[in-house]
Amino acid sequence: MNALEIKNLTKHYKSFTLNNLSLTLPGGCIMGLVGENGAGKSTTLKLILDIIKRDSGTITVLGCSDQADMTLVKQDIGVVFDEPAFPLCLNARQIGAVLKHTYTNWDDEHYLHLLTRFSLPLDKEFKDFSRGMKMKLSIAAALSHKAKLLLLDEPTGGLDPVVRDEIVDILFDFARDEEHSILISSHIVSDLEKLCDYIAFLHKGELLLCDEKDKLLSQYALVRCSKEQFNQLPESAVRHKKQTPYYVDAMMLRQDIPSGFEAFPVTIEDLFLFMVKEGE
Amino acid sequence: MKALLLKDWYMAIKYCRVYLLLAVLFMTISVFSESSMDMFYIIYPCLLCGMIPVNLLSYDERSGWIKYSAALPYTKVQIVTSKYIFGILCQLVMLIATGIVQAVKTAVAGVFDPIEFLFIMFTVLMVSALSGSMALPFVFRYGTEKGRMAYLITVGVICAVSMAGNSIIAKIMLIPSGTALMSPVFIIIGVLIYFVSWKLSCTFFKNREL
Repeated sequence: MNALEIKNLTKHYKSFTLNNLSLTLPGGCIMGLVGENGAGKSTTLKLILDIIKRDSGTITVLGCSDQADMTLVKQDIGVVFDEPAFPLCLNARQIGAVLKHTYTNWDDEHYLHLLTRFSLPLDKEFKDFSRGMKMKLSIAAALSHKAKLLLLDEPTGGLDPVVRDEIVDILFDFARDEEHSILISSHIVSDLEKLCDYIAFLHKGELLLCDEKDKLLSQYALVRCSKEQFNQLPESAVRHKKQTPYYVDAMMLRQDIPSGFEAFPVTIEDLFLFMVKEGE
Repeated sequence: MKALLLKDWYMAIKYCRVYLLLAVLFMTISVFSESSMDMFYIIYPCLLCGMIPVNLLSYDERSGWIKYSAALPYTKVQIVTSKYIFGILCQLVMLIATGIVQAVKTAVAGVFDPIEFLFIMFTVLMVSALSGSMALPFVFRYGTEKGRMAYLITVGVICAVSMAGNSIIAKIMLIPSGTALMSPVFIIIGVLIYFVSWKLSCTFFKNREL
């Protein structure tokens, strides 16, 4: 079963439109939503959670497409927003007590285990936590009710590399279970590259691309050459290009690269930047 | 719902201690007041308690909990209802506390009249229903920042009602059997105010994009 199916999802705002978004997250997989600030990542997650109303399109979450049943479906969804949002005066113990009455599958032991693993104090108020601690507490809460789907909005934004790496490890642990899926949005592409099976590029409300990460990395290659050399490349083979006064970088499908040209592996970040910048 | 009430309880303990202090202060003043049943000292603490949910909502907005709670398995109706229930509970506790103090005071003075006492309690219940009920629909519709104007208007109404309360009650008390007749009317008005306000809040909050 697919964890998430989005078809022709559209949401209009005065100055922004999420336009006709369609994507599918297969069960047991991790998908990264990559996009610059304001690309529509958070809007997509809010629409999935039915926090805002869609203008058109359908969303099926864990097999349920009926908005009336979303409250029930949310029992199986763990959510982490870019800004951790527990009441500021509550401590981790009180937050656990509130969530225990929120989720039918709440696992107190697992929650306490995660708090210990993350070295989070039980009696310190949420407002006195550092950003990294707040994010870890949000993740602990999202992982303590046997969720099948995690929706994470910029969970590593503004964190130092050590904490980011720790969070990526935690998410890896969660994704080991074949029933668990993650949709994670971020503009820190390197984190997503480590973590994801699928990558979706969003730019100004449009889905530029959605495919398996390994497929993308094996399909595309980067060719750096002079302007003269670039002119020898078949025009139809060059998917994207970046020109400087000294050289030209060409993003090409590996199979289309003529012999004699040296091909370099691409990163997801390269691919995204090429697609976005050329579009501009 | 239980989770939301528990969260509000934790927050109220932290943020609303001043209400308790004010209530104790008013009760103390009312004990030493020369008037046998001064409405202001009875109504005001209950009116203040009606504003507790509005206060808690502003903390919820500031922390981002409002948006986050919409992503949790609560319905928007549950989020609204929990605030109303919490407000009613606070007002009832305050009403009982002030009622006990007033009952003891009038009993000691030898002027305790059970019908008059119940009438005054029901009146307080109706008037205090106004406080939270007036502000909450605006706050659920526009948020605490934009709903602040409604909050200020509510405070103005509270003050006017508190001042007018004494004379209105006094006039009703002059009518034979007035207190016995008006008590059920006041209960019905109080319940209606709460119901209409709750219904409006639910509709506004359902349509609000967080």
